[in-house]
Amino acid sequence: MGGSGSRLSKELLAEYQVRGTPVPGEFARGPALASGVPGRAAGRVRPPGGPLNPSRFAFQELTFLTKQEILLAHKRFCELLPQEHRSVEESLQIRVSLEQILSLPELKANPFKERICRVFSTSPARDSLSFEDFLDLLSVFSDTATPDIKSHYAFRIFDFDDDGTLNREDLSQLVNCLTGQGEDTRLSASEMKQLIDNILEESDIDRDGTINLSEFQHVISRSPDFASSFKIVL
Amino acid sequence: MLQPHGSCVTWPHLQVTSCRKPPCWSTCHFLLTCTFAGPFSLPPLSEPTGCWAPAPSVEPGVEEGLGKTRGSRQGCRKARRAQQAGLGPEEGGAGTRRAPSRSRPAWQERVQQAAPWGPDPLSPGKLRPLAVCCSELWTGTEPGSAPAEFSLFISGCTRAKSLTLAQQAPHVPSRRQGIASQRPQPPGYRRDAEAVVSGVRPGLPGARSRGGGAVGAGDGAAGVLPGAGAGAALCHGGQALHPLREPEGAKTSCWQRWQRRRRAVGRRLGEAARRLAQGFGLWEGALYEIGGLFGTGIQSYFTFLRFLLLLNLLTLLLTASFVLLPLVWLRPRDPGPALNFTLQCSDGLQSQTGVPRFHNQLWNVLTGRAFNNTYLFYGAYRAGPESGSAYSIRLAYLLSPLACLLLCFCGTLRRMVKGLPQRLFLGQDYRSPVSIKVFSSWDFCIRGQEAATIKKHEISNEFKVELEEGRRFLQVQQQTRTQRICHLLTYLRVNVLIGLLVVGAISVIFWATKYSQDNKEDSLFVLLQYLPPGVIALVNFLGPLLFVFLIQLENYPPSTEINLALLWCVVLKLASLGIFSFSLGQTVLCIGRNKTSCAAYGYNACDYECWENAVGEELYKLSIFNFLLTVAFAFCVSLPRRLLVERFTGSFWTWLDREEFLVPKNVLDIVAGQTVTWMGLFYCPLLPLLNSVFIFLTFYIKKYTLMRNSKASPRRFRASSSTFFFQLVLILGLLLAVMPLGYVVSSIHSSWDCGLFSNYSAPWQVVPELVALRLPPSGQRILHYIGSHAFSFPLLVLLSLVLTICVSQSQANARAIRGLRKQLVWQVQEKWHLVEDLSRLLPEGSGVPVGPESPHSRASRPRSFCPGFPCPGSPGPRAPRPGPCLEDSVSRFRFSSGAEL
Repeated sequence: MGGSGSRLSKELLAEYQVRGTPVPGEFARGPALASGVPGRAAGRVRPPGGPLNPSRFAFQELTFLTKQEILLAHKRFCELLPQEHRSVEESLQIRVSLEQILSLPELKANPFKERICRVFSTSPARDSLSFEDFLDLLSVFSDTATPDIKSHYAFRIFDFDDDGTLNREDLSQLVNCLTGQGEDTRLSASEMKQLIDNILEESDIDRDGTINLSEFQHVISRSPDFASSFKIVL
Repeated sequence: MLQPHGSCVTWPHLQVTSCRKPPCWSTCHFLLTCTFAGPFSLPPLSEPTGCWAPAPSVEPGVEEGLGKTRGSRQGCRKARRAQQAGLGPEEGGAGTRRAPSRSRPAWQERVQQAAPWGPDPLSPGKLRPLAVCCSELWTGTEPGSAPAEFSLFISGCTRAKSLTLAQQAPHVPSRRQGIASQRPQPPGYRRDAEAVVSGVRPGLPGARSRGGGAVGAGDGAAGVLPGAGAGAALCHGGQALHPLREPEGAKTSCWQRWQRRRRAVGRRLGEAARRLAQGFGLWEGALYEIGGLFGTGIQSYFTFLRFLLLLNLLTLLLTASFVLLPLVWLRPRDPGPALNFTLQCSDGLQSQTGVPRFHNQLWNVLTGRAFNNTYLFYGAYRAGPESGSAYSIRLAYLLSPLACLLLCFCGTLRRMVKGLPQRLFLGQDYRSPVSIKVFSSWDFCIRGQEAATIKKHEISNEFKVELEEGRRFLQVQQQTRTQRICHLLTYLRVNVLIGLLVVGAISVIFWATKYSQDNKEDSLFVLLQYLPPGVIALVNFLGPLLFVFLIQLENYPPSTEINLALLWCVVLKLASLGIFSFSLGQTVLCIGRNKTSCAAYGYNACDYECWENAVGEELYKLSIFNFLLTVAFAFCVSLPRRLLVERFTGSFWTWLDREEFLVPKNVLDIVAGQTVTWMGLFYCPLLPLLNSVFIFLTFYIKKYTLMRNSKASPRRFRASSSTFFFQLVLILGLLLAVMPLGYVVSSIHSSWDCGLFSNYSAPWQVVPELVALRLPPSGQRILHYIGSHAFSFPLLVLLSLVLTICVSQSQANARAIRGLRKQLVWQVQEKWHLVEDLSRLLPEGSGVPVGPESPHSRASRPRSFCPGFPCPGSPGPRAPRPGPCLEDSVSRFRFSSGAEL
């Protein structure tokens, strides 16, 4: 579009998609899956003036987290950084690689940890997280995030091939992640087929062979456990 | 010709006064006149293209206060002069003035120069100057060009905004132009949730995410318009500068601000209430830890403990504030001499005193004798005659337990309804969806590797169980009649066996209670005092084990097996409590017995001077015993077992393993304790205090046991189903406690010798007496009417009306849900129909595969034709509909869906 090529506007607009208000029924947060814009930003807007000064802490407005949680998150994030980069200014700009993030105890045991990091990473290669990404992650997984946002990100996490729908391969990968790869827990091929058939029969309302976001959210909305289990606390 | 438009948006630091078309810019027809209030300054407008490049940093404080950007206007004038010199005047140009093609690349360059943010806005001490960049998205003045989005970004300020400008082709005589001003976008969707509800046009995300600032090409104009009316403050553009806000806009803004404030206050109040309901964050850390390590299923047990603790504290608060404090305060002058009352018993009471007893203090504490004359028990509450004081202790004493029970009932019911499985409302064909299990079964709180492995096992088990059940269901449907009958008989056999066991256990409890009551003064056996609780505990310990074993013998489906075992456990637990209270009633109140003393005094007055105290003591003992058992089990069974298992290796020890933390069993224990407390509310008003202490300690003991001594059970409860089940059991316990209490309060003669109600035929008699004594006649009449049949009939009618409305509402909802589901399917069918029509209209061989309506052929179709791709409910742009056949099909679908709804 016209003169819209500025990186600035891209960033800001992308940010507003993420930070857009939760309108029920409008899946306004995060880039629409179809468009696949990688640059969905976290607290991309920076605090107006000054470092992590709790008194004017803009991140708090940008996320669902409280001041204490953000400070804790920053502390934990800094612990991942090498000693020389731990100053506030640097820590807000430097990116942490996927391996380091995955070593966090909160994510260690999670079978979806790689997916989570990829979904929340804003780097082009999707392999590193900045502090804002990290904060965004924690915000989505916080207690106060709305179920809509949670289910939206759950969908993105489960969409292993990033094509905007959950197809049979995504579902089988998802089930494998859930049950683990152990001999005793893994489902047999026939069981897997039966399970996926069941899933599609239940949730694929429009019978197109895949589950799209609204169908997914429809399923999630009936699960009372989801909001309580889809959370990560530092 | 282009009309200038502007919009005003309120920011903390910046107000865009107007946005108008200056004649000075050739392509970008807008002038932003901004007023700044705050620590920012706007460098003089130097570029006619509309980009203010950031100037070198300004020290903070220099430009503080209100600075009006006179510079910008001057700059503009300068620029206009330059423009006039260069390109000729633009004003009055009726036609379209084509944008000089050179201006765009230059513009883009400038934006890109300006875009890197310059000095770090976060660096302290250096304040980043404001940079205003207007990116011109509207490409030119060609007729029919797309509506423009005019974006204004202010860096260094946490907000940015974009002005969207809708514009029609200049050749249309009456132009319809809209400006949507997006409010300063709320950086946190939580904070300003309401802002975008009004400000952002629907369907935006797709368009916006297509690349920063892209304007939806097709539907832009239409999409922008709704936003235009709803912006924060909207100034319709004119040639002149507009006042800051139009009165209307200001009004809306005020209203919105007020609403926002109201909502914020409401939210804060709600949060406070929630915190209160969650016990001011009591044990929050511990709960997180447990939930993280063991999942929400086990966490729900501990949450349940907290809930019970809160209930007990509430009860205690009520009792203390309405009974204890007034009693202490209004200490009756004369506690009322005990009635001149002598028992005429055959063998007399003298034997009691003569018998040697254990005078061990500890035993006295454990049996409750030590507290016989304290406020712990009913007997110690005394007051003068009713007319003496203004505050009726008796009424308070009577009503506070009832109020507590009612409160507990409401609280429990509320929690139960919250956890109610939704499928109950959605009909029988709505069987538990496996997709929910797939999508929401992973507990993201889990941290420990061990817990994760367990969870994986659990999920795998659950899936396998689910699939097996599906297969079973199919099998059952294929069974013959005789096979079905055989199955039924085997099921019946086991259940009858278990039922017999329950009956046996209940009778054992019954005899034990009776025996201990009959030999109450058997001096050598103080342990006999603990016979009934001991037997109850034993039965409740052995019963579940036996039931699980027996049920496993039969070939039940796994879920039925668990539910059945649980059901029998509940029955056993509550039945044992029930029989305990019944046998107490039998000995104390002579229910179903004939004794002379009973006939004379209304209770077994010869054996029990103050029978309420005796009952209270029994319940007190039961409560203490429950707790002691918990402690003993934790430290004498679980702990040694863990130590032994860790110490030794061998097949036996491997088999033994650590103890499993069985949530249902623990819940049943705690529910039993709570039921005892509720039962004793009338006899020992301070029992809730005791129970609170016990629950408090139990939390830590159980946590210790869970963390150190046990492994999580591989078959675990899900939080929702367990929450529902816990509350259900709790309500059953509550009802069990209420029944004897109601009976006693309404129709049993209280002790002659002690307590508040000594000269009443039944405690409830206080109420009529007080009504007669204190209430004015009109009030009496009202109460009388409320208690009469004449009132109950309309009440019944009203209630049934409400019930009917509720039921029909829920039925209508279910119908609507079904209808909506069907409508989704129809929508898809309609789309497919359109696709077919389209492909028929297209020249043959265009490559679009058109096939019959089989799902396989659909799945194989190219993505662009896939009907599920756009969200259901938001049908994309429709293809033009040629011909009547399409009309027909559409109307068919529409009609049926409308009829269904």
